[in-house]
Amino acid sequence: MNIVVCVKQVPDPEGKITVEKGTNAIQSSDLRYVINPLDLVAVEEALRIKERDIQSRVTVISLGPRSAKKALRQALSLGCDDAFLLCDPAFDNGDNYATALALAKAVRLVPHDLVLCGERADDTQAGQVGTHVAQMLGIPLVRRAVKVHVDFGSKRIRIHSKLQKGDREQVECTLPVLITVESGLNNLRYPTLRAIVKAKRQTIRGLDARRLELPPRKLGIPGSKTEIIRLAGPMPKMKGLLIPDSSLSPAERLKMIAGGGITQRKSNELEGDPVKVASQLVQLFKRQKIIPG
Amino acid sequence: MNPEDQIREMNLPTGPSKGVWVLVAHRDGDLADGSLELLGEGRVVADRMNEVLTAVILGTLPDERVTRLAHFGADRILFVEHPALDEGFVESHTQVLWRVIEKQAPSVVLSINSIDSEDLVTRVAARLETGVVTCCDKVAVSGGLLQQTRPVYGGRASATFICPAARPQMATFNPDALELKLPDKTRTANVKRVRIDVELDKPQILSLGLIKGDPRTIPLTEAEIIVDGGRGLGSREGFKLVEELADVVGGSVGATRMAVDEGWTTSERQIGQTGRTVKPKLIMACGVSGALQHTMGMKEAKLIVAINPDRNAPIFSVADVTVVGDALQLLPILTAQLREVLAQNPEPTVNYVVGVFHDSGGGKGASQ
Repeated sequence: MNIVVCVKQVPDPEGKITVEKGTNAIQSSDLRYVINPLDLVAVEEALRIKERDIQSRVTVISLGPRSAKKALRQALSLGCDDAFLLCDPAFDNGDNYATALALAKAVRLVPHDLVLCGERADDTQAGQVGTHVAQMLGIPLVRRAVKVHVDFGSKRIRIHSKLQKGDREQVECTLPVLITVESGLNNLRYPTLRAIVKAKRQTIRGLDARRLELPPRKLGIPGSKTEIIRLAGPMPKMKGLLIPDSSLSPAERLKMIAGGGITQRKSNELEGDPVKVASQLVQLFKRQKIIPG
Repeated sequence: MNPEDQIREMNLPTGPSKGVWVLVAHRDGDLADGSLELLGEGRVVADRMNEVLTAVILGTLPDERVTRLAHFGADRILFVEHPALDEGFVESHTQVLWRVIEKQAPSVVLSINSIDSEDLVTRVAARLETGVVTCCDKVAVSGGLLQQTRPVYGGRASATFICPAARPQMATFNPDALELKLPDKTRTANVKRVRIDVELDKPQILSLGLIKGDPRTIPLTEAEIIVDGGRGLGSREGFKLVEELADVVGGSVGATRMAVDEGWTTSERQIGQTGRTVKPKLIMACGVSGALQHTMGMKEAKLIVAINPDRNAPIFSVADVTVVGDALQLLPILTAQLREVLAQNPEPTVNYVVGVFHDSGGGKGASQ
């Protein structure tokens, strides 16, 4: 079975992000870059499938600057067989669509029964590249996988897809398929020292726009559907407005509304007879639609 | 069928796109939470663009709901009908919505960012080869273009997008960022029904049904209600009160490191620095003092209720509602009251969807 994993190199999710003044770029000088956490889950899943079917081959593809080689090297050290880096100034600053177009072209170059992507990248958090790639390849798409089981004989795949409140939808389809993976699908492995050394000698093949037969007008900013016009610091935290308890005085209620709970929580204090307090809480849960009524 | 209603072939040049659409999610005749708020947002966008606001419904809705859509801002209500909508496959919904957008060429399409709606809208955008900005906190109109702002880098920055040429401009909204506007009960809307008479491609993804998450075993990160217990509960017996309350409200149990170390519950229940980071709709911290290592894992919850006898407990600084009192005394009373209320309303949870898929009640959405 041939598995292709798309990975993205993103700024360390634990690191600090500062927007450079007067630009639409983040301060990149002291950023540490890592493989997008959900893409690592995708790599891990590919390797687990390969362990069950020794003839499987795992190809890892990334679009990014030359420094994204580091991410591919890491994927190779974990056990991936081949790596492609889509690297060309023409790809720069492309949106989901333009990026997906280049990725889809590259996926077409290799045999693919299964394409795995992280559900979303930690930097843009858009979660759309996988959807576009599936559409461009003309293969079915299953999102938010938290369990994957491949039947190699029948070439069918069974997936548990994450819904809200811990619900799962169980779906099945025939390969090829593109799956976007969520956290919790598997536990990550660490590379051995030997594998790291070996990965250093493996070739990472570069692909540019010409090799992918894509004209510049379909790539980067010209090929994008959306465009970032402004990058700024974090938005002020939006907090749901609490309806103040009717036992408060009008002045206190106004203060609470004016405080807005937007930047700071203004707490509403209950004290006294437990039966009364409990019924106030029940009323609150009703108002907040946490329980019906 | 009049020519206007016929489906335009893809790749034919389209006329100028017109109108603002709001996709209204619904289930069993009820509107999804956030739909009316979203209509209010759509109204503002439509006014700024000088366009007509259409509420689009895949399937059908009872009349009184239709009136509400008008009151909250819709000029036009469009029911889209196709037999496949009842089967509840996202692939069928995608094809129907894609075709109706192709045909009617709206300029803007807005939706709520629920799991179902987001999945549907991004698939449709991919088919239409247009841009969609998901999980927006804010939109504005400038120079006739929709400006969509959403958090990026895990909320460490925010980005504003435009979709300059491709149409429609699509956005899904974080429901928490929307406000309910006042209804105008004098407003009325034109109701139109569109029947898509096209054989759809057979869905390639076969649904084998829904596995309902049990709040007692689901990952804590996916829980909507968490009852969180700490040292103040005093013993394993005290901690049981937390579990009982959680069971009654269909919530999950969370715990501080202390409670886990004491063996009152298992480690996957632990919230905080060395445990999980959770963002439920409600967390009730019972006998939790509020050490930073714990609160950093739960302070983003939408509603925090804290019960602690110590008025100066640090947990109160992150809580929305503080109860000064003993959890051991309050919890059994609260549990009993909630049990009584919920006995009168036996269906506590509803998942809303655009159309009818992912029906967690085990109905047609989970069909074989």
